[in-house]
Amino acid sequence: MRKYKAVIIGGSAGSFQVITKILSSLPANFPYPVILCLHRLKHVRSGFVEALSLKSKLPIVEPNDKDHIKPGKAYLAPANYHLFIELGNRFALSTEDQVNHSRPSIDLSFFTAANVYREKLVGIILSGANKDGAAGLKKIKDKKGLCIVQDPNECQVPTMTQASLELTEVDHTFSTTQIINFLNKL
Amino acid sequence: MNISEQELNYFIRVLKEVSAYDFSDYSDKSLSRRIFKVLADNKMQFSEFITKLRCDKVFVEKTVRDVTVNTTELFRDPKVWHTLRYRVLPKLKENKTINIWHAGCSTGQEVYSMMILLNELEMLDKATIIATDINSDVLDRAHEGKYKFRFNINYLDNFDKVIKENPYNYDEYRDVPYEKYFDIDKVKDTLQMKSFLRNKPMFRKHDLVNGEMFPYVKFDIVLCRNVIIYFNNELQSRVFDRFHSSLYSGGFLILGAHESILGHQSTRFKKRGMYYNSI
Amino acid sequence: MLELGIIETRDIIKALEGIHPFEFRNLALTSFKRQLEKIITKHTLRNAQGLIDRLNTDAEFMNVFMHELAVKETEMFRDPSVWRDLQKNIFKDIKSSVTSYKVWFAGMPTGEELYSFAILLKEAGLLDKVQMYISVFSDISEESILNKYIDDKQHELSVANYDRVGTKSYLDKYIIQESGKKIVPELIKNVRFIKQNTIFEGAPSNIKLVFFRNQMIYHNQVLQDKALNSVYEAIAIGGHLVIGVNETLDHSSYGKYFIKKDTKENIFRKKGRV
Repeated sequence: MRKYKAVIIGGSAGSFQVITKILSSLPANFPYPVILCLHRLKHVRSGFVEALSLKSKLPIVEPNDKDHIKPGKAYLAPANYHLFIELGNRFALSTEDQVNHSRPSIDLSFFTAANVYREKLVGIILSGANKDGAAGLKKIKDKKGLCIVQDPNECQVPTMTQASLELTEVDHTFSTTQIINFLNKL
Repeated sequence: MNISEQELNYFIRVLKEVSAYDFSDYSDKSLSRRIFKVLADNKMQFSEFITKLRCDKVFVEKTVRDVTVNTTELFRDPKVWHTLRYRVLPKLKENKTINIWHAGCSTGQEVYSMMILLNELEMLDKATIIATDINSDVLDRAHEGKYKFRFNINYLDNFDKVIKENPYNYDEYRDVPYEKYFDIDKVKDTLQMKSFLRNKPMFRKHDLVNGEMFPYVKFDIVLCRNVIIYFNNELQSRVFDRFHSSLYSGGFLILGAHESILGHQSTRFKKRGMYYNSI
Repeated sequence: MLELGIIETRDIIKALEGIHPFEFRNLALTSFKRQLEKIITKHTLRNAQGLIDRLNTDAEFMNVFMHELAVKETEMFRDPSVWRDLQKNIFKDIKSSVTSYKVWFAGMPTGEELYSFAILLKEAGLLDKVQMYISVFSDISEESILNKYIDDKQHELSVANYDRVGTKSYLDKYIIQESGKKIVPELIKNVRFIKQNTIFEGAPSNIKLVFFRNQMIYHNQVLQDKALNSVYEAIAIGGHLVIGVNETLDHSSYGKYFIKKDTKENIFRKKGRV
C-alpha cells in the first residue's frame, strides 16, 4: 500500500522552468498523478501544454470536467476554469469568480485535493508573485498531508513561497533538485 | 466549379511536357478550382486551354502564376519562427550586417514577420532585406502592406505565439502592442503595416528559375517557402544550386514545412530540424 | 470562511427538496457546497441550520436562493474562437432559414452569452431571423437578465474577447453607462424566458442551436444525463449543440447521439434517429 495517492503542485511567475525540470526528471511510469495548478495569464494561451510537454516524460493533459485522475499522468488546470478534485477520484471544473485574482486558483485546487486525499497527498508550492496557495497548503497540512515549499532563496519570485511559510509549518523547504530527488523516492 | 479529375491529370501531364513545372505532388484541392477560374476568365474550353499551353510559353508562365497564388500569413507556422527567434537569429547577433532574401515573397506577410521579429531582437537596423517574386501584382500588394483584418484574425494568435510568448519559458511574456507594428481599422476591415516596415525592404520582380542572380550580394538567410513544391526534380536542383551560391558558408536556408532538399544538392547543406546550413 | 460538512450539506439538500422539485442532490458536490457557503455568508445566515430555517420560514427566499445558485458566467464572448466558428458556420444557416431560427440558452445561464450572441446577430443583420429562448429558475434571474450589468473585470475581458471575434465594431457600442455598465437591453427585446423548476420540464422544441456551455460542470453525472436528454429532445435533427471547451460528452450516455463537427471547438450536431 503506497503511502501517498497524489502529488499536487502550485506555481505562478518563475515556476515554469522549475516545473519543466521536475517533469523531465520524473520517470514515465511515475506511480502518482501529478496535478499542476499554474497561474495562466488571462490572454488565451493555447500552447502551454505543448510548451510543458517539450521535455516531459509524463504525458500532460488539460483535463475535461469529470475526467478520471490516473497515475503516471500530469494534469494541467485548463485556462479560465478552477480545477477541483472530487470524491470518486475525478476532476470537476468551475467557472466561479476568481480567487486571489486567479482562475485557476491554487487555493481551490489544494483545498479540494486535501479534502479528497487527506494524509495521502503531497502538496508543493513553487515560485510566484501572489499569495494564492498559502491557505491551500495550510489545508493540506491540516488534513495531515505532506507539505513542501520551494526554497524562497532559489525562487525567481519568492512571494508565494514566503506567504506559504508564514502560514504553515511545512515539512520541507527544498531546492528544485531536492524536490526532484524526493519525488523520485516517493 | 471544378474541372474533372481526368482533366486535372491531363493538365499536369501536359505542363510537365512543356515546362519544368511538375504539379504531380501538389496536394491542394483548390488547384482544379483555380484552373476552372482560368478557363472562365479566359473564356476558353479545356481543349483550347491545352492547345494554348502547348504553343504559348508566356501563357504557360501566366497560368502557373494564376494557379499558384499562395496563401500566406503573418508568422505562418509559428514553430518555424520560434526556430528563427531562438536558434537562427541569435547566431547572427554579432554580425555587423545581416542580409536576408525572401525568395517568392508573395503578398509580403513573411517579410513583415521577419522585420517585426528583427525589430524585437534589436537587429532590424543592421538587416538588409530583399524580397522577390515573379508576380508583380503580389509585389505591389506586399509593398502596400495592407491586409484584410477579419479574414486574417489568426494573425494575432500567431503574433502572440512568436512575439509575446516564449515556448521554452512560459514565464516570459512580452506585452508588445499590435499598434507598434500595424494599425487595425475595424470599420474598413483593414490591417495596415506601419510605414517604417513598408519602406525597409527592396521588393523586386525576379524569376527564381531563369532570372539573373544578384552578382555582388551574398546572404546570411534565404527563405523560400512553398515555392519549390511546384518544380520538378531537375528544376529544384537548379534552384538549390543557386541558393547555395548565394549563401555565405554556414548561411541559413528556410524552406516550407513540408519541403526538403533531395538528390545531389542535399549534400551541400546540413539539415538541422527546421532549417538548413549551407556547407 | 464557513465550511460546510457532508452531513450539513445533506440536511440542506433534504430541506430544499422538501420545498422545491429541483434535484439538488444531483448537483456537482464541491461547487454546490461553495455556492451554499456563499449564500449563507451573503445573507448572514451563520450556518447550515440558519439557511434551513430561512428557507422554511421565508417563502420568498427560495426565489432568491435559486437565483444565487447559478454561477455567474465569467465574461462575454468567452473563448473568442468558438464565436468565430459560430459566425463562420452557423450564420449561413440562419441567413437561409425560411422560418424563425430557434436558439436556446439552456441550464442556468446568467445572460452574458445571450447578449454576446445577440450582438453578433445584430452585427450580421440577422437578429430578426432568430427566436431566442433562455431558461431561468427564478423571477429574479429573469429580471437581472433584462437589466444586465457587467462588472469591470468582466468588461475588461469582454472587450478583449470581442476584438478577437473580429466584427466591425467595438464592444462599447453596446454598453451604456447607467449606474454601472449595462448591456443595451434592446438586443434581447424578443427573447422568451422559459421558467423552469426542474432540469427537464418546459424545454422548447425544434431548436436549431443550443448553448449549453459550462453548465454540465455543475451537475453530477446523473443530472448531466438528464439535462442532455432534455437538450437532445429539444434539438431538431441536424441542429447544433455547443458545450464548454473543457467539457465532454464522453462521460454521458448521450454522447453517441451527437457528432462533433470538424472543428476544435466543442460544437456538435444531433444525429438522425438511430
